[in-house]
Amino acid sequence: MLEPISTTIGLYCLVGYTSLNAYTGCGSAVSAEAQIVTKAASALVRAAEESLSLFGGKSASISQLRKLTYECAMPDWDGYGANPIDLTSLQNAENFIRALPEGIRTPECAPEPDGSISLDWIQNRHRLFSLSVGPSNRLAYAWLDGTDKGHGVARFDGFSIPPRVLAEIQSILRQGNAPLRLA
Amino acid sequence: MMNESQLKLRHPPIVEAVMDIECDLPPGQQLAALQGKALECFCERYPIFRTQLIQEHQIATPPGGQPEVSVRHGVQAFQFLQDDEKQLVQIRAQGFSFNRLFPYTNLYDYLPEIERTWRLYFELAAPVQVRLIRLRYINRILLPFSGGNVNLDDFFKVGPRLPDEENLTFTGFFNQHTAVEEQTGHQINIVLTSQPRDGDQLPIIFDNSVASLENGEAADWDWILTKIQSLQNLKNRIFRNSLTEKCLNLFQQP
Repeated sequence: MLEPISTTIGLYCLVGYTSLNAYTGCGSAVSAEAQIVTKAASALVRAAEESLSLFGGKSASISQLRKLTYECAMPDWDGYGANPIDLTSLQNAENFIRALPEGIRTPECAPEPDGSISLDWIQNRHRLFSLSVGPSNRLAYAWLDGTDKGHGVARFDGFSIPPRVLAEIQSILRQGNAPLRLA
Repeated sequence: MMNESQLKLRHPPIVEAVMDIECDLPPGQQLAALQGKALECFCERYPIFRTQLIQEHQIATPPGGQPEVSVRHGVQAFQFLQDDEKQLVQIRAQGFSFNRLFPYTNLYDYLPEIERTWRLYFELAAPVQVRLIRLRYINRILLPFSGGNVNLDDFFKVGPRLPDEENLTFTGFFNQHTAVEEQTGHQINIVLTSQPRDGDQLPIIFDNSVASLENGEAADWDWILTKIQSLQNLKNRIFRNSLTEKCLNLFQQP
């Protein structure tokens, strides 16, 4: 098995940091001046992402995502005909992690057979939130909280976590026991 | 309220104007699957076709072996450009864009074409609803040196400040403001950044972006147009109120 020495996402990669996100990549502007703004904003974002205090946990999580993508880059990576992880899915998952507010734990990540990436917050087997990040801007999510459960689909613009999704993650991560009720 | 007619500039500093309409697209729709039909729709007036890709480069070295490099691509957008490459339409994973590069005249000159191409996009991608409409105007302003220096305050009402202006001199800056217009909820992003000296002028990029995050019917062009006009007014106010008269006069000189 080859080990990755470096994995970079090239020219159009989003490297986001708060409101600078909008300028750091994948924008729709094409002029040389737009590229200059992108480059300058990206340099600031890179500097922020190199800071442990500003970005520490997220950096480790993004690194984990890239490792996962490398390991699942070939078709049939699971021996059951799985699709390789889509690069746009990786980009969306990275952006989702970048957009997480301070104080929200970074998720565990796992590949899915359709080439999407699963981001999971697992308190215990009765209390968890799972999000599927694919190549589109739609996030499918499901949560389990004791005997309560739910699921939905939300749109992710690449910069800010959809409020419903954020509220559910916060609810699952909140301290305390899951409300166990008789059905 | 200021409108575009009050902002007639002989030499506007715009180098690129972009209109983005971000949409909810039908579940399961893949951008790559739209390529064939998109070419049919746009190639007559926009004959140059490009695919914008995301790229992943991987370098790996097996034990005792040579480094191996691999590249993977993913489709980010389809771009359709006019022959002179001054105008383009983009079909992106997040929606639709219309770009106009220098020379730029007036938004109202381009609105009929924006409407035409939006309707083509609507037929093609069948967006479920509009999520965001954004106008982004990127300006390149050439400030003249005076005695070897440029006093930014002579040209910008909003701009960077140094902590010790008597002893420090700017060699470069990147200044960003984000704000919201209370009355409409429109979001504003303004970037001012310097470029290296160009002869006896200092180029400054003034990136003025305004967006409406109100959801609306993708089929309702009148609603979209109302939002565009509202954003246009806001964008003009920001432009006018960010620059001094001295700066505005730079764009009136022959």
